[in-house]
Amino acid sequence: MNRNGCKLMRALKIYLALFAQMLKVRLSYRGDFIADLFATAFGGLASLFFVLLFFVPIGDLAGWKKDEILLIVGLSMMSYGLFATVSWNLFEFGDRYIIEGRFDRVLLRPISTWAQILCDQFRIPVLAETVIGVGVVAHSVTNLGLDWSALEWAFVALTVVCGALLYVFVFSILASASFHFEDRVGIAPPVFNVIPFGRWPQEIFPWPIQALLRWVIPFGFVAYYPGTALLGRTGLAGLAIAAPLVTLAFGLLAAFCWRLGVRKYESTGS
Amino acid sequence: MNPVRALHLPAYAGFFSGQFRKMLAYRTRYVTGIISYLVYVTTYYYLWRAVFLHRAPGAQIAGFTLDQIVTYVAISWIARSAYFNNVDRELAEQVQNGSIAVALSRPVSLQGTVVAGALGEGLFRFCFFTLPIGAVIFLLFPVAPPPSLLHAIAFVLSCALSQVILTHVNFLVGMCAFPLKNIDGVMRMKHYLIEILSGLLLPISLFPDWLQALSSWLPFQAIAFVPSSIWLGHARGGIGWLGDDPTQLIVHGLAVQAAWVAALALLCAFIWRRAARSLSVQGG
Amino acid sequence: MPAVVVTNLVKEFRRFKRREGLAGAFKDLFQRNYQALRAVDGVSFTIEAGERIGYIGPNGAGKSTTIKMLTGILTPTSGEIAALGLSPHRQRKEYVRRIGVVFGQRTQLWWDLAVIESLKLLLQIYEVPKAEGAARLAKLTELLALDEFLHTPVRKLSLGQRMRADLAASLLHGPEMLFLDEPTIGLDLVAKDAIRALLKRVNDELGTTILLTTHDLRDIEALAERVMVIDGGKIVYDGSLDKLRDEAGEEASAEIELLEPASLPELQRALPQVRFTQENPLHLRAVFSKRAIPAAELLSRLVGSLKVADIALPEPSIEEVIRRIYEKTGKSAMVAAKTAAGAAATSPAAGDAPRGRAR
Repeated sequence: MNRNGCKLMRALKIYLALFAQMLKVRLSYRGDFIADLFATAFGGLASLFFVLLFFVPIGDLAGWKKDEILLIVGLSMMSYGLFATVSWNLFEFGDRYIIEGRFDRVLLRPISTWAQILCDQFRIPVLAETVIGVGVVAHSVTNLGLDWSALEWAFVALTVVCGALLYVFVFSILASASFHFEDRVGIAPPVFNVIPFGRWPQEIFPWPIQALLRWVIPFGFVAYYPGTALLGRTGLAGLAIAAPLVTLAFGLLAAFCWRLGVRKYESTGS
Repeated sequence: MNPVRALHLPAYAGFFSGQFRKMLAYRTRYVTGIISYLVYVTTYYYLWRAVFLHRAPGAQIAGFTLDQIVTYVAISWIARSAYFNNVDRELAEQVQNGSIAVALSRPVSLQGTVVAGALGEGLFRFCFFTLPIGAVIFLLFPVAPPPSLLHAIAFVLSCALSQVILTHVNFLVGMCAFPLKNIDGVMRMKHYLIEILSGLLLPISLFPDWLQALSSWLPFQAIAFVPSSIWLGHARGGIGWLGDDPTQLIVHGLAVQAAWVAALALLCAFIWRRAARSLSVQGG
Repeated sequence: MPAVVVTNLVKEFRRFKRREGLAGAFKDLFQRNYQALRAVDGVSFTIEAGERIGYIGPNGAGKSTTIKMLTGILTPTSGEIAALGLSPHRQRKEYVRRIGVVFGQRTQLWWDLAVIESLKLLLQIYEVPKAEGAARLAKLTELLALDEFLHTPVRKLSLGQRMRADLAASLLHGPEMLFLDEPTIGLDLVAKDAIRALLKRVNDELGTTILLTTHDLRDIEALAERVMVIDGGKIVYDGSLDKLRDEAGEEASAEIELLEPASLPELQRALPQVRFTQENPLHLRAVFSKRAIPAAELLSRLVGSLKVADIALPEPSIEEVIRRIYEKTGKSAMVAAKTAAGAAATSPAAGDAPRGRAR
């Protein structure tokens, strides 16, 4: 194995050890674990329930059948569940690490600061949302009578992973803003609230919102564009192919912003 | 006697100025909070537009025209910006760090203090949060005014009652911190329950019958559905307890809210008394 | 080759300056006023491998900021740091592998993990070879008496235990340099002694370079061969502890307990080179320059002319010494007074106060 490969394996081993310890800590708070599991499952079912309730009086939405929308919602839930395992530290980054000064400690370890932040406070229970998402997708695929080959299912897997990474990257970029502006909540909440936008057919929104969700806060790529392609709908299905590329681009942007932020980091003064 | 003196206005002015400065210190939260509300209303506005897109002009869904449902959604969110509070989190923190025991030594009831504080905060939020949010939403979206001045007044009163009801619900959730160490899970579940069952996301009239029936036995509909229906001047869809007559609606709506205030206040008093007793036995 | 070369180091912070009043607060909402604050202002020094250095100065003088730059946490605004041949912030990962850092105010360990788990995880993070790691862990466990709380989560440790665990964590990967920011803050005397002894031993046996900041002057007396004093972001003294003491030690004081009251004006006339003050009729304080009158001569003359019960000659405290340095470098008396007050306020236990502190 070449030297770089060795280095990567070694790094992976370290992160795995760190991750395992952090996971153990979270599991040791059994009550919190169970409460998180219940609340996540409840929340996932609630948002699903809302979609179902919404369709009761209206029948269909701008030419989209209920099950078609559910497919997109399911995809988005799967990605979101994966992202939520690491989301706490990204949302609380400004508060926990910058204002309360935990970032000093992170910098003193000879491994990536970003990876350390993502490993800390890892949540398993939120994967309940992913599980619900799997159920929703399976249900709508059956209801729509779609006959998917292994290729389509592989595309679903790729879509879900890319979607989760896209969330991670977008919120990492927002978290890295905390290096520049000290603030307890940061600017993530309104972006977080934009997530549901990405779960609905994009064409119902006026073009500025569509453009926003395509290129600025690219949540349209999480589930909508790939979902359109999977459903064989015409129109913007072509953009599905761009999803992994957009993810990659945002990954690079996130890495750049993070580095810039770390360089700017001012510690807690005195 | 000087009426200004009698009302202790300078004290309130001081409170307001203090709150205002606190809010300015968290200016990012202030600005992002306003943006969040715009995001919500925008999403639902376009969703409903899409629903009505292929229907005849003036078409109704469960008794709502597009204009009415847009007004409903916008008003529900605007009202929420005023009545929303974090009483549950604040109480849980007091329970966790033990400072709740101080409440026992005060000559005033904890419940009264919490409700008064929440109303004060609500008035503050109304001035500095709801008014700008409302102004922007009125500019951007076709929100219809209430049918009469009476409805407007009743709406404001109804929002105040929503605040009191939500405060009591949050009080109960906060009390969960006595048996449970961490109430994050309970708070999240309450959040989802209220979002859906209060009629914030969707008017209760659009629910299937069984859920409408269930909702009418729960306090949540009194938080969002009642004030928004009063603003609209109708609560179509045959919910028996509100009625469709614009004036009757006001009376019924406020009565339903008042009944829930009384019921929840009693429940909270009962639970707090039990919690306080165990607190004084265990010594906090 | 020196272990650390610092040249013209500067760190500027941008501090948000709030406007006054409600209108000011409103203005702040739209436009913020920033103020540049130079925490470290052109500092240069060299550290040889194996040195033990005390880095002292008043609160907010720039001590922590310097340490944070030396450990790669903060990026300097300008100037250069070459430590172990590396640039701390540019080659952070490579650099921190070779240093140990302890912050007295906050733990470097994981709050919820047992001490042993934290330490084992650190061994993995620093990629210490298994056998070497096990041996070092055993040695540190013995030296710092970690046994009693090895399986306790860090959040449940007492302050002294936590500091011992933190110290173990900082030494686990065999660092060439050790940086300690207030390592003894808030500890009791026994714990302080244990930590001083360990640091000395680490330095003697392993040759680890040590740089520590402290408010407890006994740390300096027990550990530092060399002292650097920083104030207002500038180094105002850099040299040996002895020389520092000598320089300021020209002036000495004596505390005299009397059996019978003495006449102060008479005494002052007899010994004009000494400045006498009287706290009560039976207690005198004499301040004198050792050059003008040797201590021995003063003592014999006092004993000859007065009924003396007891005489004490307290060594000048370092606080006092620092105050004199400030006076020498032309700092205002206010800065000096603030220093003394700051040092006094942060010295935790009254019984632990340095000898001869002005009452």
